[in-house]
Amino acid sequence: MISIADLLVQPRLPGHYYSSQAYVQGDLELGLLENRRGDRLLAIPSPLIEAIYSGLLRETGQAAGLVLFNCGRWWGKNFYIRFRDEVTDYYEKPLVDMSMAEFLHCLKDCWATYGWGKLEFDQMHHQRGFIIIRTTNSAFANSAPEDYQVPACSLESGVLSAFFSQLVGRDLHTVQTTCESLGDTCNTFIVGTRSRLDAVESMIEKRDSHDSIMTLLCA
Amino acid sequence: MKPIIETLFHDAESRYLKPDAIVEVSQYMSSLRERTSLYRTIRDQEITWMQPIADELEQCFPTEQVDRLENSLRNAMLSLRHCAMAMLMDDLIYLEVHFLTWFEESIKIHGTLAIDSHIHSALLEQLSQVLNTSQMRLLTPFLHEIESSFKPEAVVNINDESLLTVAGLF
Repeated sequence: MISIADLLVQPRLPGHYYSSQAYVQGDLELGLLENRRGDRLLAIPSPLIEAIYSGLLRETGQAAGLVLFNCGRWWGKNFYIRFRDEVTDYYEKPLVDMSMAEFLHCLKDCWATYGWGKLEFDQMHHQRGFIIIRTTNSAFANSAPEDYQVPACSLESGVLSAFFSQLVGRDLHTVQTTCESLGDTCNTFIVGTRSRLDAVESMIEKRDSHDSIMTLLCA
Repeated sequence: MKPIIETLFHDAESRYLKPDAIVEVSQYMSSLRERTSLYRTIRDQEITWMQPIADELEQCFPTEQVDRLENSLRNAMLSLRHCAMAMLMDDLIYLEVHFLTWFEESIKIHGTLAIDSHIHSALLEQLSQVLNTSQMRLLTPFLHEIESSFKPEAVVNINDESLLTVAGLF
């Protein structure tokens, strides 16, 4: 028989952890924006992202994307640890034991509450060992220079590859096949093992369609 | 909080409230005693009201795993707590932002539409018996909002592979 009193033994009934009104807090007297756990948050204006692109292009030329990807990987590693700790503490469940759907729900909410845009998962190919992620309203795509001419979400690609690598304990890579900065309706990322994604490197450089790339990967 | 009061905070630099808005604030302030009293009642009676629902639940869903029933009961209590808070502040948006969008997704993920809507109906029935008309009038708008989370397309095949653990994916 279920006892309601027993269900209330834990200090909270876990719900919407990333609800923006509950999540974003701060001590404005000290000029600090914080999340509900007290970790510092920072608001980044679009011109700063434009300046990052501008500076990188001037200093490193075509390597700008790679630099941003590597920054994203470093950031992604730390983001994963923070995300894991927040979610496991709040829901009192180890992350690797969460169902895929529960986990993706948390990540989607987190992505939106952080203002990185909207994130969706396409699980069509997950049986073949690929996760397809689609984002919209990416700040990096939005702030890319007009003549950038390549997918502009390298930082997010780096974040996603580090994040999922940490999560599953394997070295995973991410490539971007569509980009809002190039007129596509969304930014599409393929997360998978590096050895398999290397096979489509030239297709990515030639800007082949996402569907044709997936056809080759799943062949 | 009551949306009109929150607007007060943001718009104070623009203008003073118009007369009808001041009336709305005044009416809300007058209702606060009743709202606070109802809030306390819900807080104090939560377990008493929910236990009969839990007792009946296992009989209604005899083949369902207990932890899934417990999860739905927890979410029902969470919905009641959020309704109570939203009622106290007379703020439907609070309910939406803090709970509804998450709850709707959660129902879909866990495939608990039948259980959750059953518990909610039982809770409505219970509340209509233990609260008076005036109290129900305060709480009902928020309880009805919860029903918007129970969408038929929320039925998901429980064996859907999307419920596999992430660790098993690669």
